Amino acid sequence: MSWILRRLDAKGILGFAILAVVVLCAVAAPWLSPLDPNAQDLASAIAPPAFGGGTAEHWLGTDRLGQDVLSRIIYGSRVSLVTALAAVAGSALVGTVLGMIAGYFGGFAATVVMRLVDIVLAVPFILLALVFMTVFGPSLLNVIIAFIAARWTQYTRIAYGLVLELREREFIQACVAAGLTTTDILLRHVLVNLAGPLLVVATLELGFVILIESGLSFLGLGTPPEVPSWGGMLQEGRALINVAWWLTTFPGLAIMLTVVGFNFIGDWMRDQFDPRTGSVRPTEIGSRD
Amino acid sequence: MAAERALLDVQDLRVSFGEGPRARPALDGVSFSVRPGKTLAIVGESGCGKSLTALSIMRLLPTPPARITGGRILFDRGDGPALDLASADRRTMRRLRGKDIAMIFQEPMTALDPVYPIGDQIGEVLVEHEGLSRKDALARAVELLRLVGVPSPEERARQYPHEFSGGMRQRAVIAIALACEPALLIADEPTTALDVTVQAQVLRLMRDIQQRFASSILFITHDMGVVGQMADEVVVMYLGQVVEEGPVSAVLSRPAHPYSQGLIASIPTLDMPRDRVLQPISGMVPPIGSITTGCRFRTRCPHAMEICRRDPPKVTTPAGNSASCWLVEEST
Repeated sequence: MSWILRRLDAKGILGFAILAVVVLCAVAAPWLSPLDPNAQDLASAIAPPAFGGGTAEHWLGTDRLGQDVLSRIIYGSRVSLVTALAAVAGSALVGTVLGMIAGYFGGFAATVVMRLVDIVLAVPFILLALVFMTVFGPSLLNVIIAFIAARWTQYTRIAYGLVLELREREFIQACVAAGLTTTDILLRHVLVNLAGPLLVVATLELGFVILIESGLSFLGLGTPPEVPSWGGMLQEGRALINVAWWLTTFPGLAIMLTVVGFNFIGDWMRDQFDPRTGSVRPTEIGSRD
Repeated sequence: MAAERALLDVQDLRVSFGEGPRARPALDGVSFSVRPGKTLAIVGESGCGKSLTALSIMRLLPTPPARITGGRILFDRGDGPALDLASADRRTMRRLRGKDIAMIFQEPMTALDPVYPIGDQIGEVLVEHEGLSRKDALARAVELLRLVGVPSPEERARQYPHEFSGGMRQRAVIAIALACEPALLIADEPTTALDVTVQAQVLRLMRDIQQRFASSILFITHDMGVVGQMADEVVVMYLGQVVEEGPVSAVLSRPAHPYSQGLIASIPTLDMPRDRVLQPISGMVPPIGSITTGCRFRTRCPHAMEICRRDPPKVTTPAGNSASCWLVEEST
């Protein structure tokens, strides 16, 4: 772990700090949130934030039903994080496996996989997600499945290209010549060499899922209304944007900050894996005889 | 006198690129045998098929387009009849690779996986073939590094390939090849990518190892000077065929085939007069498949005659080398 700390730059620190706050909110939501996110209090509905003329009871104000905005934002981080992690893990798994098979074995397998990628890429993602959610109904699980169905191609394309190059490297041939099984070679030597670039893609995708999930919730096709989510809050607050700016501003900020945080981490990791700027894998600077 | 049983006996090996009428022969009836505990060198220019021969033995040919179209590769495992590697199934080959036949590659800079420590990469072979635990395999890896002359092997085993110099990497590659004490070591130009001083060290190491393990080495090189240091026997290849073979002393001192003569005449030596011009072999290696009959060397041979359009006979000279050339006199 120490090398991570040593190599952190401003962007990295900021990214990890934002991620830490979001994770803390998601994990410790019941203790951190001042009120029950679903407790309705119509008497104090549409109360402005504490610094905007409201009371200290609702720091970031309340919505139409008198629900505490801060509490809902804290609980909303759970939806965003869980969706993001599950969707990215799923699509990375599917995409990497298919990309490795296509790249390593080539031939018919490559044709099938890569043409499938072309087909999925030809359909606009948001359209695919909308159709999917309309058919199967809005739920967290369906958001995750829709995302996996569309975004696995990101990993497949990158894994495919990298494996094509790796396969020609002498050490992969040396592994075959040493009598290792194909499974061992793929898992221990090919996959591990792909890990860096794919991890960078995955980090950037995390931010993207959060945006997509919010977008779908905003369109009413994401999470059901009783589950507090950032996108859902935006949708509810939209009608009152003229009278209660805090209903859309704070969830919007939460989305923006989280996405920016993930993108910072992704950028930082890309720099680390890039031989020209980074230092995770020093290039051939070792002394030669 | 019963002939000593060969460890590896390659008989009339044929490899082609492509299918059907457009298939081009890359190896055209290659035969040679490696005796136990001896070193056989295969020499030739780029494109003569020497690396292809090594890959065929390991069954690592890029298939398609290349495939073995004929001949046998008999490997003696010491128990029962020799195994024909040309027709062995994938499972048998995988078990054989790394354990009975190991290969040392040309480019030590890329022959190691950059993301694992050296010790792990040596140990991996032992875990796979000898069923060692990871811990035992690592301990053995340290021993192997010491054996191949890597200083302070305990620390070096934990280092990554980029922390090794070229010569040290080639030693690590040799350690991997030696891990299961293979009967046959195939070295495909193992010193070409190294500095001359390091080259000499690595060659000396390989000779030491051979004596210690009594293994056979199939040494592939384009460097006649290296042949003299390493080999017991030499096979000279040109355009996918063996043009001359024999004991190293005979081939180097009295080459019978014009191509071998040309290769040896093009080596600079310290005691030659300074104003003497090195004799290059004229022309370039023709593309494979362009000459398929007669003596393949006739387009570049200084002694080419009309009769060279016919396949030359294989003739053994008094020195003990045999060459395929119309000019060579029978030893009788």
